[in-house]
Amino acid sequence: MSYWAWWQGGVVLAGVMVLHWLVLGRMMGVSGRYTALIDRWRAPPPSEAEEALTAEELSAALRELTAAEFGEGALEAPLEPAAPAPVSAAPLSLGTHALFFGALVAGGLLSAVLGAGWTPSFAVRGAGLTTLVEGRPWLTPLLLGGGGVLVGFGTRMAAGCTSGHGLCGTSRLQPGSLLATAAFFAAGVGTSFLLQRWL
Amino acid sequence: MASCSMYELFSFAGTLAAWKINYCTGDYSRCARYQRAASGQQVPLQLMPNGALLRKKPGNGG
Repeated sequence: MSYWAWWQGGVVLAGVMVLHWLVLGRMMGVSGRYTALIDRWRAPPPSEAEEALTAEELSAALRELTAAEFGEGALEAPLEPAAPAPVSAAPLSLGTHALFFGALVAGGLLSAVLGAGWTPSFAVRGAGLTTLVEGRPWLTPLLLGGGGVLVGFGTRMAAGCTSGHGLCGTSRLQPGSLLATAAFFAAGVGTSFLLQRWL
Repeated sequence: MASCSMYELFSFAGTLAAWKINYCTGDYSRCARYQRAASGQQVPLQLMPNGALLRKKPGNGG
């Protein structure tokens, strides 16, 4: 079994991150997208329904609210050098979400086919785990599903996942993201070690 | 803060730094976005930390 070289994966991930920023004007975060999709489903009360603002309207509204809250002097703060365009606060369309998740699945499939090959399987790996689920086929989906729930819970608790914190946050040197990414990896290495040691 | 779209906005635009200093990295417990998120409510994208909503300015020509 052969995988892509680590640097190839890094280049592709960085390219996707930059492309996402350039096209949508916001940082990429997969768990954030899931949340946004669920939030769209749980529609906001009509009084708070978000109206779409253009970049100019957003800028004007922000200046007005900033001046009202902190005074006109607050607006005279110099722009940070080479500051990128402000991120958009407008909600993304369902089509954009669908394209993102479709591309996520297609990209994974493509990389699998081009790399080690794609063989769908629900089998767990590792001698201990194999022994654990042997004769108990119901345990495998329970383990996989339980793992997914724990990952989802953790990403919501940490306000981001390996893409939002690990790729975007750490590259911007955000302390919270650096800490969260360190915690992801420590937990991953620790869990892997425990599974190999005791299972 | 990593998932807050307003925090990203305040981080990039120097003219909006006052929001970040006074709410995000300051006393964030008074941030309307934080309060909503902490109580499990949905946070409108255009909700400002002081509770105001970003809206279009009324046009001159109706």
